[in-house]
Amino acid sequence: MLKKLIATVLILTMALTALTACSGTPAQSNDPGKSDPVVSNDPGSSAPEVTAGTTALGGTLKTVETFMYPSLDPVKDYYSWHSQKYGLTESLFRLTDDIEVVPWLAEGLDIADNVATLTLKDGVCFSNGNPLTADMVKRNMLRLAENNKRFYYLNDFQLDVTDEKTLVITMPTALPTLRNELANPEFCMIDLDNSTDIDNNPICTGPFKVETFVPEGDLTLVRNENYWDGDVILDSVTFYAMSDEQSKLMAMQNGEIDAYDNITATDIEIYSTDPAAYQLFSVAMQARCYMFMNPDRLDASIREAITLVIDRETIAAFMGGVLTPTYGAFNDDTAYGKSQQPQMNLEAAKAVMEAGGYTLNASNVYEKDGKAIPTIGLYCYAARNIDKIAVLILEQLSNFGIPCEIKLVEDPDGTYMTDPSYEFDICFYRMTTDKTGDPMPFIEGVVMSGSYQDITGYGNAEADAKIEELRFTVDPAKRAEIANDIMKDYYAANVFVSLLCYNRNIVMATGVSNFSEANPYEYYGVTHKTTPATK
Amino acid sequence: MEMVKQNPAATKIKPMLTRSQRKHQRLKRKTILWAIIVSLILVFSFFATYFTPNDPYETNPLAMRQGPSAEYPFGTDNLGRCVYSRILEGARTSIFATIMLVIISFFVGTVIGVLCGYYGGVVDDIVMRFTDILLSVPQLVLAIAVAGILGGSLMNTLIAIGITSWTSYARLARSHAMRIRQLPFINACRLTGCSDFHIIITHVVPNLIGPMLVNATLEIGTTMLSIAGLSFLGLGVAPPTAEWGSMVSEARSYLQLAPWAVFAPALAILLTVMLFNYFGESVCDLANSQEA
Repeated sequence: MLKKLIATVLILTMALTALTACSGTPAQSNDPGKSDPVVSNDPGSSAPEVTAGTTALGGTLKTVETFMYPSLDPVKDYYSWHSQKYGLTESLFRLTDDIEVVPWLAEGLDIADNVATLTLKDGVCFSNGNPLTADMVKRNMLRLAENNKRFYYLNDFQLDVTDEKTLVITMPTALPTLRNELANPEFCMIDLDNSTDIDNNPICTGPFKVETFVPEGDLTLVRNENYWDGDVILDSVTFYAMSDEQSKLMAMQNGEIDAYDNITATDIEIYSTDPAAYQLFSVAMQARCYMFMNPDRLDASIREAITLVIDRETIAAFMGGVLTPTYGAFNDDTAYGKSQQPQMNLEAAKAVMEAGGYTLNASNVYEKDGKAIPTIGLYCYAARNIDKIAVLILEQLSNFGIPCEIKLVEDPDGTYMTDPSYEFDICFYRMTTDKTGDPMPFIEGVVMSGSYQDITGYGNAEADAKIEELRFTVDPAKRAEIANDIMKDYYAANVFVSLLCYNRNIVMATGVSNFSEANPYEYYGVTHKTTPATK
Repeated sequence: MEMVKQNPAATKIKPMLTRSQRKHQRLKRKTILWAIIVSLILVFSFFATYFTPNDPYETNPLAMRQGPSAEYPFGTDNLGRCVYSRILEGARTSIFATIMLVIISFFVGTVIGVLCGYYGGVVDDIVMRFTDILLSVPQLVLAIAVAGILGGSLMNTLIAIGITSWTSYARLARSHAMRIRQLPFINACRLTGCSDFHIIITHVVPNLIGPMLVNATLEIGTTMLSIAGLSFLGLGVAPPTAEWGSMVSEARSYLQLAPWAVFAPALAILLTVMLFNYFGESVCDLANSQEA
């Protein structure tokens, strides 16, 4: 027995010694003298050879992606969000850092009633040197309409090529948001005549072209020598597939990668201790975490009280810069984001419960007619901090007198978001609520009857009529007014609570710039102006 | 009057023990000592929740990732919760879930094994082939698959691990029951008209319960690690329930900032599993020496 005790003590000592060696302070591990960056061993990252103006050309950027997909075909699913971030594809229009829609591959779009005339920029070409023509745009749009259900509506459009650079789009009815729609990453262009393997090596217009691609694995892109919008600074970009946050942190600290986005709160804290080695950027995204409340299982008083109990500021305080409190589906500085939900007000919540006939019992649980509120299930999933948000909301509601428990699911889209028989009380979801600088996509996808996220059964004829009016309204001020009206009613029903807005936190090694670090949309990343890390 | 002097040594004659008897005595003492330690852990873990210095579930944004202090002996986690209190709270979850699973697996496996071993025949063949199939699949992989399908909760974790854990008991019980049923006294019982139920309860089970218990004590450590492993993978308890495996998993993401939040529950797992393993080993050694 003594031998075993000695062995135990020895093992513990060894374990502690080993762990001590692993737990250097961030400052220590970031010591340039100690690091051995992979980049510095890469011939591609050697000293710049050619200069263009004041910016040296050359170098390699290595970064990571949490999710890598089996294909690079931008019309499939949401893959274009990634291909655009890789610097492989570009859409007809794009959203600026200030959420303004500006032309990208397109020169302009003139809308007159239900007819829009799209003109393309001169000189835009694919990575093989072939020019982008209106006919290729038409064929790409038709391919998108055929392959992506979110764009089936394009099948109702009539597309007429009038010359090399002009495409006339005739819509069944006026679509005021067409310009915003064309800023979707899906409206990118592929050389369909010469791309023999679109899944693995599409020929596109971006500043980089595919060198190697492992489906659901790593991707290496090299400079597009025929890039239409100026010199491409980097020789190559590598995206490693890496989902574990600790691995990303250590890869960054070791110099194996130069930049990545969506860093965690604790990693922000670690990187911020060494401003000489790391640049940190944070911009509020349009992605939000929100929750739905099931009116069939929670009565109006409880739902209203819950809306008033949630303390978003405290939740955000725990999340250390990753999340910002939000009280609506759209930013309140937009014209269509003026309808907002109430802030935390415990007294008002108590009053609502009392008005609903509830009283607080000795166990600090609200009861009605001698019957305590049954435990409410908070259905959530362990990604993007949603489980942590649920834990904090559970505590807030339980302290108030509404007992809750967490129900973890692996995939919300396979359970409560799609399965009508899945009986939830409260469920959480995350989505980009303002994809193109217009409220319509969110309203159409969440509020409208029978929409994908109308899981609370809110959709009604009155709201649908307003949504139809919004669909065909051209005047921005009027559109904002209608959108605000729709959202006001939606919030008043207390079936939806906008909780927190995600921040796009990016860390970049010294020297890296133009990684779309100020853009609130996560589908922008590498550009032709992106620079490599300083060695 | 003549005083008779008595030699005290002569009155208390110490019996001469053989070497194996001395070894047996030593093993017995060792087993008792480990049993006491393990019992203390069980008692402590049962009442641990009453000794938590802080609310293990209370979050505090002002106390996030604080190092060990008088207020928080093992520091705090990412949500400002007391790690020490959560370890104490988690002891009940981790240890008692393990003990419960071992008891259920022991009972189910023993019953199936005894019935198969005693009666034999087609049912025995079917059940044993089924156990062969279960044993041929790595236990943790199967548990991950089952837990993934059932969803995250402590009960589902126990089901996921329990699906395969009973098989080792069943095979062991079957082999002992097959041996015992062929012994002469069992035939004698049959000739006297004893029912099968009576024979199993009064003769078969008492004769195999020893090695079965030894096996059960050895399985405690493994089962505890399996539960912690599934929780670490996010397939165990639902948050915010305190459980050692899930605590390690949660704190892993901020290891560099708050290593105590990982090491404390990890050490709790390490020590508890080691103690239960030592206990199981000593019981096994004692049983072997008794047989010898």
